[in-house]
Amino acid sequence: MTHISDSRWLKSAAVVAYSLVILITTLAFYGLIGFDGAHLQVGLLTDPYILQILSFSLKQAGLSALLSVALALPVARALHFMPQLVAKKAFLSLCLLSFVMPTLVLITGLVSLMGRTGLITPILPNDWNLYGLNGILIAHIYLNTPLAIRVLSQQMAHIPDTSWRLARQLRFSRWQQFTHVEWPAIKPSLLMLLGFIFVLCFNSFAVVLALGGGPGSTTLEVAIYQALKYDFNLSEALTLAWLQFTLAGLIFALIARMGKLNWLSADTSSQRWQPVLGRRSQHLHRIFYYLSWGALLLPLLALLPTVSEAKLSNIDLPGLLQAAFFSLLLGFAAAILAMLLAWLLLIPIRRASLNRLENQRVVLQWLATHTLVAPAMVLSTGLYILLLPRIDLDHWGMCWLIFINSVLLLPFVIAQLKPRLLQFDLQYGRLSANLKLSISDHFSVIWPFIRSVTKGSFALALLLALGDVAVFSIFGNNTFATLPWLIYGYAGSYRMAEAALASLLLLAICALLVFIFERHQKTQTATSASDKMTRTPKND
Amino acid sequence: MTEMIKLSGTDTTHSAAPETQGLLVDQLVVILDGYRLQYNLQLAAGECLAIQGRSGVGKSTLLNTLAGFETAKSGQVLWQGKNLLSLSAQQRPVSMLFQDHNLFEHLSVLDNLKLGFKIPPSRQQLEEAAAALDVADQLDKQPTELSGGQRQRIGLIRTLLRPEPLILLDEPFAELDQHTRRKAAHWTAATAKTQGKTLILVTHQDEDAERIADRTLELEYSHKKLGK
Repeated sequence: MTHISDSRWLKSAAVVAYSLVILITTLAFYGLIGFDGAHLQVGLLTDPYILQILSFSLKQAGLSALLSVALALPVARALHFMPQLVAKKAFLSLCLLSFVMPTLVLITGLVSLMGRTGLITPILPNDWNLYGLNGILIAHIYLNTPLAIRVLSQQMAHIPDTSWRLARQLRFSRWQQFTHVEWPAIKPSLLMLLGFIFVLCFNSFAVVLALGGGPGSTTLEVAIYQALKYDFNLSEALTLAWLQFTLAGLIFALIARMGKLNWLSADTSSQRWQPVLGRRSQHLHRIFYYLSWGALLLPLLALLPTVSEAKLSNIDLPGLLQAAFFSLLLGFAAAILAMLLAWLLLIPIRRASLNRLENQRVVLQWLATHTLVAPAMVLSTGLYILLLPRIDLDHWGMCWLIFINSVLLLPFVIAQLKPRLLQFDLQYGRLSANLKLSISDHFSVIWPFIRSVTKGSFALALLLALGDVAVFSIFGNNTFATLPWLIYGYAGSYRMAEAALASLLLLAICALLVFIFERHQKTQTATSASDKMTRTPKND
Repeated sequence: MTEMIKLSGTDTTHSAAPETQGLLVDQLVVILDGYRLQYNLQLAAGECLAIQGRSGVGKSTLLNTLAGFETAKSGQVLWQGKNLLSLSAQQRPVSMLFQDHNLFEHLSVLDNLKLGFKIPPSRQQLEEAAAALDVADQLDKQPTELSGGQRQRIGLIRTLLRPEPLILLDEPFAELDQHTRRKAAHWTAATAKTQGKTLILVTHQDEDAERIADRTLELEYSHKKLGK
């Protein structure tokens, strides 16, 4: 079918975008291979230490994914079946904030809460230790359960009223309601969530680095970092990077095959007819809901007493504000570039989807979003090694920082933009072609349709870019220190009060952005609802 | 006059020379969901043809293929001697009214009416057409504020006023009451004649065909399910 991608100019731009994204990964690996004769060491794959790291990586990612989804399910059911719950909207916003929260803020909060001298450590068992599998799981569950809650409650909101009415009419038991109505609606999302969270945790870096606590709790990503930073063993880093890339890539390809994960849209549909949970079940779900509130708030609140310990004279307020400014500046630049790249990368994906070329769509989507599985540390280091002798990185380092960050943001931006653009194509693709719209007309027609989701995606990209430490640690410089970099520095020199203060400032910026994101999602929901009205028009 | 046309096989009521002006659909084969549909028809320039037939017989598929939204397996479609099948939907001289989704729901009715023209018609022109179809007071609204029938009439106005010479209408009056249906049919027939459009209309109603069309084709089932 005719599509906007038929424009020669846009076709070329899309080819350039794909080339850039593929090139950045290729060059990074080339940088590692090309340096000092580094090569793949297949023998490492049978090394007991590497096997233990691999086993731990899989174990922690598997457990994190399973526990995040399992804990999210009752909370999502509570949100869906109990409209009377207090502060539901605020809770969903808190969920979003938790998912996008810079990991260093969370780590500072968790250490303040249940570290060696944490607020609640005295009431925990004597042998309690935050560092190791405990801490990694807690942090991963904290970051990912909120995502699962939002996705699952949204999925349940899509169950049509008629299904519930029919279930009631057929006198289904509660178990039958679950197996015949709820489960079919959430099953595809559950599988995709498990895969998505698994990949995120499998590639987790900062959490494992900060809370791993030793060689027994090391993941592939951290092992790559250690091989690069401490041993400077590029062959080992390269081998581990390929191993991680392959494993995460396979899982990610499976996710792409499974289709769409409309993962951060606001809780939308208002349903007029809902089954009511039994009294005992209501109590249980309510307990889960309020416990989740507590669990999500506690690490944030734990920052406050730590901040109060800060000596005002020690605080470099102008430095903090300057770091906040640089964080926003770099985040804005990376987010804008990510939006542009995502839009171009989506053009051929949309075309393949419209023409039902499923295999082509999966391959293109994998290429466009493969940075979700490419280890960020390898991308940064590989490129750094490659570029160092060729480019003045003191001068151009920040540009590369922005570019690499924007490529790392792509999977998230594309996941947000894609469903809305596909909806446009499905709903208006034929009409646009029939009206023979010029490129400028096409933009003026599509922009009002995607304005909200574009702004929302931009806010999300900015939020995620604000948390970057990994790329900054390679390409950044102290003249333009960002807030996460300051937090990292403070925490590294045991200045926890200053770290907590910087974390609170970063958290406040994130909270403001979440507010903006949620507001735009609501506008989009209203637009989507009005789109749906066309399918059930009034009769004359 | 009502003619019968076979969708499948070689039995057709028309056999036209390829060089004939107007529209010639010759041995056009479309595979849809494993079924083989075959079409043959000829239409003089400026002529108006109504196509009828039972649901699922392939009426909309024919229009979608002529407009470039379904791919033909074989055969040819000639317009003024030029093969349309080699052109993309955007290059064909076709203006089509779909059964639904004719308006961008996020744009105002007036903005919708101005799309599809190199030089959009003046507000006055649009108001006159809208008045003829009883939707003059809807121009400044959003499509979501309109009923299904009002939406369809707005789409009809744009489809007829566009400069393309070949007009395809897929059940344009399906959601209209008797009075409005009559009015819309007369306006469509008059506008098509005045502007010299060649028009193909799919409809289930005999009265629509009689009011607008110079002749009617009745499509009948003769689908062949293709083997795997």
